[in-house]
Amino acid sequence: MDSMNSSQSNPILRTENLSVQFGALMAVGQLDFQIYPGELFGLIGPNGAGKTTVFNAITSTVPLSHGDIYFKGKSLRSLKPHQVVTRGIVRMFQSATIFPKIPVMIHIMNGLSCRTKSSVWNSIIRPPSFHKEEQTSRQRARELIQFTALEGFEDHAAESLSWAQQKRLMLATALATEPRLILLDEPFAGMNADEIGEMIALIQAIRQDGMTVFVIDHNMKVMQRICDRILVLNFGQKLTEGLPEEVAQDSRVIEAYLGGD
Amino acid sequence: MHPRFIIYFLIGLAVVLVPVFVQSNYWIYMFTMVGIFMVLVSSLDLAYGHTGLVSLAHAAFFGIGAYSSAILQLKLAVPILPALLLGTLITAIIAAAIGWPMLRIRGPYFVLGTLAIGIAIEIIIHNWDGLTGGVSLSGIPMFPEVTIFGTTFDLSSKRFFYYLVLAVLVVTQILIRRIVNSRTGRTFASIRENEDLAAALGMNVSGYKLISFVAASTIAAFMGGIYANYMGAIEPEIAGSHMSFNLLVMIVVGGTRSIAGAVIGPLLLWFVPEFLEAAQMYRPLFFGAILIIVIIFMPTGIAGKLRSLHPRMAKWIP
Ligand SMILES: Nc1ncnc2c1ncn2[C@@H]1O[C@H](COP(=O)(O)OP(=O)(O)O)[C@@H](O)[C@H]1O
Ligand SMILES: [Mg+2]
Repeated sequence: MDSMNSSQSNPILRTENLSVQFGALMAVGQLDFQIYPGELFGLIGPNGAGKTTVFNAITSTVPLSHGDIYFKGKSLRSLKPHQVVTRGIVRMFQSATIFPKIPVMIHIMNGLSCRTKSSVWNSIIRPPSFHKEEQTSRQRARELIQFTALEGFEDHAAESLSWAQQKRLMLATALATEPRLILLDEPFAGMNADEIGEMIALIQAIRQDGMTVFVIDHNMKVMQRICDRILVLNFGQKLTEGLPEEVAQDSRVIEAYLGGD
Repeated sequence: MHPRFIIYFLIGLAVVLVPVFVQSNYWIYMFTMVGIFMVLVSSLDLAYGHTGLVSLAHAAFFGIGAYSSAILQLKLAVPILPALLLGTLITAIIAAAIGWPMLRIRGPYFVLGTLAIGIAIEIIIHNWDGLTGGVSLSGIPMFPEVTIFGTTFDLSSKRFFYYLVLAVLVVTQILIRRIVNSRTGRTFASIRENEDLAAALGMNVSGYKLISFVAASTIAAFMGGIYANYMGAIEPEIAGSHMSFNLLVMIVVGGTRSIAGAVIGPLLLWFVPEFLEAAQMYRPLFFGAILIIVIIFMPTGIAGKLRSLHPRMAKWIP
């Protein structure tokens, strides 16, 4: 039963010697890991371990110092951040990264923009295809509003929502880009138990649809509950990797956590 | 009919009837100039208000449009209409060539870059006198007289130009509304609100900045071409950074992302100094004082302030 996926299919994401250096600081060093289609893969580690930097590297927001990252077998090197999204990877940021003044409905439609085509000419001339695309975009946004329980807030500015609602809005906007792999950076941070429960339910629901999920969090209890496999990062290096129960009992992990906080 | 639309209709009617009731050519000229400023301010707002690009080179494209259309007519004897369209196209290409490297720079460096371009374009026009006439390019042909069904229209008249500028203004507003309320406009807004998030959602940030910048410049260039034929003579100052700065002040004072803002800014900052004779000399001081007052007390401009007074005001002020 050891990670049944891993023996059967090719990884959807694979890193090879992934290294990111900031001046003298090796934020992530020689990191190798694989994520398999449909998996819920966890990344944990103390503050400053380099977790967010791994996401930044995957999404081309920081340059790799060495190594490479392959998505569905193809290198992501030299892609621009927006091109990574077109390939099928999207991220949700650690802090509430939203379009503050934009209403919820349009906020989510912004996620759809990378899959729709209407050009500036179309917006001026407005042929039937323009109206059709607007209509299907609205319809899809409405579905995502329903999915993330944001009904009734369609016309509210993103910044006026509660913290948990903003996180759900970000999830809905990210899902609108039609990803195959979604990167969630501390999606439970700053939430109460109920809100965490709602977020877990959403993550489990998108997995049902065949999405691969890569999640970062501090919270060992929650991660143990939801992840298929967990990688532990410390000072930019892989400490260990394995099934949640194996990782939780690893003495080096316990030490890194007690030493880290 | 909603009372709001009756008011809009009456304002529109008054605007259309101005040349009927105003006999003085001077005042018609003044109103026409305000209209030209409204077009420039609205187009600048596409880049500034909607996309978040603070450009101090907007007048440069107005100037390049005016000069290229005028030069085509004067040196190559191209007829007015093709010259106007070709001049606009040339300016769009120049805007793209300038914008492409510039728009990769972010924040204050972009503003400084556009300032440098504004200054450079003015100097180039000034010094390339073989082509541009140096301190002034004059003798630009007036619009002709045309006879349709036996009636002769003098297209060089001040009244005709008033309506021409009004038509350009209306079309500009429709164009901008349509762009803003679309996938393209939503992308502009995303870039304005959070550039990094926009890229993280798959938007081609530098590509859409370029679209916004070139669209804004193209509208300014077209207006510039008409301005050249209207005035008959143009000077390098129309392309300068001082002019660009005034446009930016007009939009900040009037209020961004608002038709009312694009009307209030030019009206206030073009007309009031004309009325106050003493203010003539102190025009820069007047601009500066209004700018400071607005930035401190109404950060969203006069239109934004009026809108925020009452939810109903927000509906009434477009
Ligand atoms: N853009 C950057 N420039 C310089 N140092 C950075 C940058 N991003 C992250 N770091 C540093 O790299 C280390 C890892 O950061 P990060 O990946 O954010 O950690 P985590 O997400 O695990 O808390 C930290 O020491 C951080 O200060
Ligand atoms: Mg982090």
